[in-house]
Amino acid sequence: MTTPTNFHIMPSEEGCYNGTIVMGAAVSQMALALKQLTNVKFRAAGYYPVGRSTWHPVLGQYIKANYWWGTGSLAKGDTDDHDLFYFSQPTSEWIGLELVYGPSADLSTEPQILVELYEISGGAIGTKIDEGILFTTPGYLQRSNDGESVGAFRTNTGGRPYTFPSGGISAPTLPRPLYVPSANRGDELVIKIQAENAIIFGAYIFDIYTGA
Amino acid sequence: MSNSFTSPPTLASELTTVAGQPIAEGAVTSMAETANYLWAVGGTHNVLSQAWAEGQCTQKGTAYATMLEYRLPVISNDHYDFHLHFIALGPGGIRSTLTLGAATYTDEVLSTGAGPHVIESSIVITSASTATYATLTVEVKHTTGTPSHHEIRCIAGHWVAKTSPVDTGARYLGTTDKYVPFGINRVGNDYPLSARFGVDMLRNIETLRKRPISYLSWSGVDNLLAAPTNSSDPAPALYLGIGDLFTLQVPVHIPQEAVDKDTYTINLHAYLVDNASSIAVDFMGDRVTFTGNGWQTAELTIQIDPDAYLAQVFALNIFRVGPENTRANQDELIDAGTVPWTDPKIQSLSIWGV
Repeated sequence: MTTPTNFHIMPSEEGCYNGTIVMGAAVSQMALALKQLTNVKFRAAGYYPVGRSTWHPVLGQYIKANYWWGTGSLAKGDTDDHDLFYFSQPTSEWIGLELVYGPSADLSTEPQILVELYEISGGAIGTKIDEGILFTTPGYLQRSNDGESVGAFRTNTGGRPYTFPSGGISAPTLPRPLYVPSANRGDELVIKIQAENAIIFGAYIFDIYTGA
Repeated sequence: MSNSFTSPPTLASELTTVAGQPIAEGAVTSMAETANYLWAVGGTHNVLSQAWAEGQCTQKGTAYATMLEYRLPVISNDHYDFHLHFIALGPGGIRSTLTLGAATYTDEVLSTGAGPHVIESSIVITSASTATYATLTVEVKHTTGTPSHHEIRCIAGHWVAKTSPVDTGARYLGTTDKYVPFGINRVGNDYPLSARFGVDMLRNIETLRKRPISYLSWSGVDNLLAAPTNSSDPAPALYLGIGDLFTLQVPVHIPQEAVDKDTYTINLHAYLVDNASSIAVDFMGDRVTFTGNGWQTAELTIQIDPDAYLAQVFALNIFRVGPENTRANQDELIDAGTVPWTDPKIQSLSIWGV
């Protein structure tokens, strides 16, 4: 029974009145609507715009608004780190991301973005529960901004669940949805992002719809 | 007679809910439990999310100053516990105030960690409310110690899920969206499938479909202790700017029925300043005109298509939610060429829908 992704039309209320034979199709539509709500509408999500300095180095002025057009750079060797809270649902299993980023304007550098998943324990960031994924060039990140294009770049994990090798993994893999172990579903989690030679403008995190 | 549920829910067996098959008792019980679960748990993920780069959302003053303000959807009259999580740095305090109608509730957390650390804050609503949205104000101060500021790197909030069973009697969001919980014993073995079950289930599903989900929450950072004077000072965005047209495009699944029908609403709340007359801003193909200052509201009519690429990758009806990259918005939003300015500005923006 494939999950509908939208709000399909429900059966008529009169079809459920006393003296009326309730048809299997009516019950089936109710069951499908509940499935849509469980697996589609109420998927967990957290959408993080990331604020950055709006100081204009040329004008020497505080602009007070994001005037950048998606470019920017870090000092060589610096990283742009973010710990983002994700309030998962009991139904959460695979977490997808879309990252909005700007590669360094330094042509000699290679941007990369590491994303890992942690649990919260004792009021602090606790154990890593997914070894994580690494976005690199040229397959997943734009290498550098040539100064002519405008707009931030985007990359994502894709929506296909990953088959872990037997014995699990001990290092970040290529980009894929992050996995929430059954013991952590419904917990407050932390997505840890570390970008090198790139800066983050937004991280949009959401449960993957697997279509079951 | 308990309105109980299991979490995660066991969905009704597909073998017993198709036309031509007997309606089995187990399927009806599963449906009833799933509905109760959705009332208690559905939509308790992030309702508020925002982050800043190192050194930006920073307070050096030792008296509380209001730095952030958000509008948030309320998911039901039953969910009374709002949890906030922060990644903070340095010694200081965060005082968060939630306003529903005329009632205000506050929680304050002090911390001293020099490095980034987790702060958890809980705001409990103690009086029954029928408000459908809330206003969250976040004040920050620095206290004695090193470093010489208190900084927020990340803020996230959510309504805490209710535990089983759902409270007895009709439940509501606001005053009109009604949910009647299912007594699980009544849908068990040897009981007839009553007309009331079908009628209640249809209305309950419609109420759950209307439960709001946060699409976007963004606040400018206000009341720095001092204006920045060089590139190393905190200089966070206070207003929406032209650069946000490229970065504040949130990928959200929106059911097509919310686009095509008037049954479902997509709400936009924006805080305007210096708006002497009016300003028109494009959101998802809909030009919204804001008149006056302070919190302004609108209902969006989506007039753009889903993002074809994301729809293919994630198999959902995904739209880009946020201020649109149109010529009108490029003219209206702040850019580096408009300093100093007296134009209308947006200082806070929230969008939520179904």
